[in-house]
Amino acid sequence: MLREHIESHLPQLMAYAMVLTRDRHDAQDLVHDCVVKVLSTVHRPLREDSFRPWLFSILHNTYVDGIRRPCNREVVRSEPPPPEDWQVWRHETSLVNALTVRSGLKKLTAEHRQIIALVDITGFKYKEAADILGVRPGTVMSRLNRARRALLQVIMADNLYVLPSNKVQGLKQ
Amino acid sequence: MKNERPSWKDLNAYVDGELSPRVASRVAKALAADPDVARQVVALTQLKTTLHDDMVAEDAPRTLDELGITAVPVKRPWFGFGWPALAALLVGMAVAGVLVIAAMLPASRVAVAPTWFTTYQQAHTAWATSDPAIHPEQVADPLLAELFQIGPETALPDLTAAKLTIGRVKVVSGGPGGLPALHVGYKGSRGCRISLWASQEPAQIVADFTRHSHERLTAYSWRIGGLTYVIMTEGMPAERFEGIARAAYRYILEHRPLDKETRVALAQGRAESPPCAA
Repeated sequence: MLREHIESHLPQLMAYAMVLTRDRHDAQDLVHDCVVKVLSTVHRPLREDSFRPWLFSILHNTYVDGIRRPCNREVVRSEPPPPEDWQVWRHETSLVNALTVRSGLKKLTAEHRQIIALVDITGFKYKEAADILGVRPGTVMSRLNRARRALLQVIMADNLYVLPSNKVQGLKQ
Repeated sequence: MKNERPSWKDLNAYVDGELSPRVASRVAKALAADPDVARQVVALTQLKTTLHDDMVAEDAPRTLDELGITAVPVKRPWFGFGWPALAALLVGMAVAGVLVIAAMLPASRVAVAPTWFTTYQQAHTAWATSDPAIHPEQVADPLLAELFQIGPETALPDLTAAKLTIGRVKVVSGGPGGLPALHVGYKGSRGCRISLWASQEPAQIVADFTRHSHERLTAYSWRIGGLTYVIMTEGMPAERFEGIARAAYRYILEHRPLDKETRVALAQGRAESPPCAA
């Protein structure tokens, strides 16, 4: 039963790990270590609404423990704050697609990737994300604002125009 | 006017459904009034949807075996939590069983068409038979503006997994009880037309997800917060339409994109269904 329970969360755990590590093999190792810890733990939350955040906090802590080791240390730095321009998005929303978002996400700092992965990819509420990261909900909100702003700006910088569609009006493909 | 614009922080919290009703209402008014605000929200919403839908790798391991974990390193027997935990687990399983059975039962039916049904029926038929074919991208900003005139809790369900695209978004004045109602018309490529209605109709529609049918039209209704919703179609196979209606209900209730399982079920429902009968 526990195996099936964990397996139901594996795709999202992998997605979170991919965003954290930016490498498929590292992500798989991270999820593997996390699952072993979970299986070895005696006292686990029984309720689903507690189990899921707990599971992701194990993954997060495993990742943080890993980057604290000198050989694995990733430079975790805060980006300089983006300019306080209210109007972040001025382009076609069609520029926001899987390709540009995936590419843009890789260019963000670890802190920004983490918060976007927790709230947007895995769908945690602010309070749950705060519990996982060990910060206050207000901090989650601020980080998320900065992270999304940074991501949209990266996407804007990478896209100068909308790529033409394959469909040509009036012609059958 | 600029000073009345919601902050970037509020817009982010708005798309995440994390604002208090009072602040959400303030943001909704700004959305309706200011196309620039609407544009920011559209970009944020699309960003959120893309991240949610497309960042999970298709070839990610789905089982612990695929992850290389075959044995479970259990330190204590599974009942090591103690009898209270076991009792709680058994109660939980019993409750889950009841919920599963309840979910499998058909939704309640209403035989006689109430007034609101007739009102929506006429509007749906009028739209479905003479659709002006507005392209959704062309109405993005007015769409949001109209949407948020109704209420901040309203969200437009994305039914593209069922090959249904939005062909009309309009606030109509003559809804049930004379109140305005938001009409969202979905168009399929094989003749299917679905109408989703949101209004502040006060009393006739109950909170539960309820099925209604009258003549050739089938509808489901529910209430969330201060708004009532009705989704309606004609000539679509019953099973497919129920799946679509439940997906729309969950989309509005949870305010988040449909999960992959639901999207696959919607696509499968379409693939296995004949075109909608006229």
